[in-house]
Amino acid sequence: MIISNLIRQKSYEKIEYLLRRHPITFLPSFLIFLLMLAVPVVVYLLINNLYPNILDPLTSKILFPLATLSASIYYLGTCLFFYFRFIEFYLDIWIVTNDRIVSINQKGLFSQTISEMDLYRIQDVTVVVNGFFPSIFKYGDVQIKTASQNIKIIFKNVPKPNEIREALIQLSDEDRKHHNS
Amino acid sequence: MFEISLYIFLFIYFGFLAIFFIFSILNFYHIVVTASFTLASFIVSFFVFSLATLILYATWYLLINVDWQTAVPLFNYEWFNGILIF
Repeated sequence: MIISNLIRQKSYEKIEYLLRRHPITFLPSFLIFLLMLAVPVVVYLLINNLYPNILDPLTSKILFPLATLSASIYYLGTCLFFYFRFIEFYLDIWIVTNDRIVSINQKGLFSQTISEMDLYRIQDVTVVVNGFFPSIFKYGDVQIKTASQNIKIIFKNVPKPNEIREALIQLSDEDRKHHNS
Repeated sequence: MFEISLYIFLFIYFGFLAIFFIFSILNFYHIVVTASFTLASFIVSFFVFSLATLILYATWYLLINVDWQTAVPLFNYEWFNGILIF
């Protein structure tokens, strides 16, 4: 599947921006994953220190295979958890065309929210860069509101938010002129 | 005495493996249908599947000499012998 099929791109439509969250925002999940990988090693060293040979493969005919299977299940579960977290991070997509904005928000594996907003309806674009890391690495939220204020799309933790804001204002002005004519 | 064979735990492990593979495939399917199959998602998917392969190989290697017919006692009334002697 390509992006144009995903958003059912119209013949006159051109994709201006394809946005995802800044990669630095995935770092905490990656660090947690590394920490989780270390847990069985620490537990093994602790048990080996307190009760030597209890997990020796030659003497322990029951505990060793059970401990190995448990560790394997734990590690595979950790891999799966990491993959889930990546899917949640990477599948939040915001597509800006010269006609509309499409927001795809992935929550877990079986929940997805897709929103669409025509560019000419945009009334207000606000950028929020809040915190030390967002300021250093230049990422933040772009909040887009219509006249009714009830409909709002938020680009979360996208890179270069000010550039996106300026582009959105320009694109919405051009789309409004096109609709008025 | 109530005991089971060690291979019962192996069946439980295989059941978990099936769940792991189903969800991994589902994750990859989500990446493909949302047009997100890029270099980044390929690298992460490759990393996850490689790590899983490594874990499975290490598990197989460690358990290669295990006698799966070994009986695992779950309950033995002899554990409570002498427990009420004062």
